Amino acid sequence: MTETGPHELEYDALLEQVELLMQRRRYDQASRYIAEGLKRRPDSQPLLYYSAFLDWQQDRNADALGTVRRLLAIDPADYPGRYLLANLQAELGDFAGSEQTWISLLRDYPDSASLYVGYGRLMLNTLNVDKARRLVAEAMRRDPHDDEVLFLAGLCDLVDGRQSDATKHLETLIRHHPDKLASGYALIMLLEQRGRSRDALRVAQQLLRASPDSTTILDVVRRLKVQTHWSMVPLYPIMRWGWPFAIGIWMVMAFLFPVVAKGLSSQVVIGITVTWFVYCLYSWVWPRLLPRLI
Amino acid sequence: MTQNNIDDLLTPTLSPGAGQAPAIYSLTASMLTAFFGGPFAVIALTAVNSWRLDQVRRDIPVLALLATATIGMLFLLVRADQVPLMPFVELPDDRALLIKAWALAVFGVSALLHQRFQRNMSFSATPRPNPWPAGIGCVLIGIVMTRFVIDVVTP
Repeated sequence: MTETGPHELEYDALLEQVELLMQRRRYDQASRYIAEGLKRRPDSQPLLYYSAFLDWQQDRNADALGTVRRLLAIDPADYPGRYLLANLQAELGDFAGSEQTWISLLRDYPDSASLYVGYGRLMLNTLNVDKARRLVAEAMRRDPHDDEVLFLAGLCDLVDGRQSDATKHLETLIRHHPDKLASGYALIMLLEQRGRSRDALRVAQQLLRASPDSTTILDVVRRLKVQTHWSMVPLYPIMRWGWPFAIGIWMVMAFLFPVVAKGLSSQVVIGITVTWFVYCLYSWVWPRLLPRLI
Repeated sequence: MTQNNIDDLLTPTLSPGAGQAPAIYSLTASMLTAFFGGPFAVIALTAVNSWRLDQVRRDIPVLALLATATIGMLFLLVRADQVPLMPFVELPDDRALLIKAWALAVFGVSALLHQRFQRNMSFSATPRPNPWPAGIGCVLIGIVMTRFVIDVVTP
């Protein structure tokens, strides 16, 4: 069945086609229909919004911002336009402007959990962690099972070092929204925390198959592939426990080993010392070299 | 939550022109600074991080305490034979190692001071600033300060 071209459709049918294509993420096709629709009706609010949204998805933030401003000049109260504006302002570095937009949206829609999450995300990115937590608490009061709310709550807990609360929120997210992308990320974080990097890699690879264009997921897969490479196995304690382990090993070699070495033969002492130096060198050089090789 | 609290929550926090929170030097940079420059070096780098985060006023008491404790530790290590209690404690001959161990302990406290920000940066994959200029500068400061305390303050 051949697809009807954009110039053959009436406006309403064209709009319906655009919505369908956007839902299926067929952005290239959607952009042709949007361009045709805007030629006929340059002030069409839905088409202006979709045009801006497409530009935002494809990292043309400045173009998206221009289109959103056109949209809001027609209707300053347009909700999707203002929501997109808040996100665009943050991506373009206008954090104070983004905050003002979120606040004005919240004053108009005080019961929207999604808006509290948007504002909370901005606060977290600007290191206002306490305010982010308070905003997430408000979002939780309104919609405790929303995927974005649970994900941001888990993130705030992880930043604050509250591992058990983070686990609780992220597990709830996975249980209630097993098919959402945020759940995938949450599962990866939880698995990594528990030292199950191979399982985390499998989940990340599944996410990548579902969203092959996502550079974020691709970066996660690359990172996990490096971490789970067989040559990284000796570095598992450092990857798992970080600097406390490295410092602990140094303390053992600096203070305990000289005491123990008195009862060992010189070849064994030399062997252990050389092994330790080689391990230190390997721990510094290999993780930086491996990504270039695989 | 009361309406007053909601109003407080909806009061702008960011000043016009506010950018993304400044990134601070990584734990790796701090640890290496401590290892090669000693305790004063890592205190200096932590102070730089506090300045970048605009948290100097909050962190000064902790940094001052760490600096004072470091001077006390160096005094004990240098004058160990003359301090009355020390004969009961057998110190290793290589006191430089002990100074390094103390520097790593100071690093641990400094890491706790900014752990929230470090975690936030790693979750948001915020790029870190180039650590070399500040790191080398702090290492030099650390070496000079340690020598100063050993040779001048505790002669």
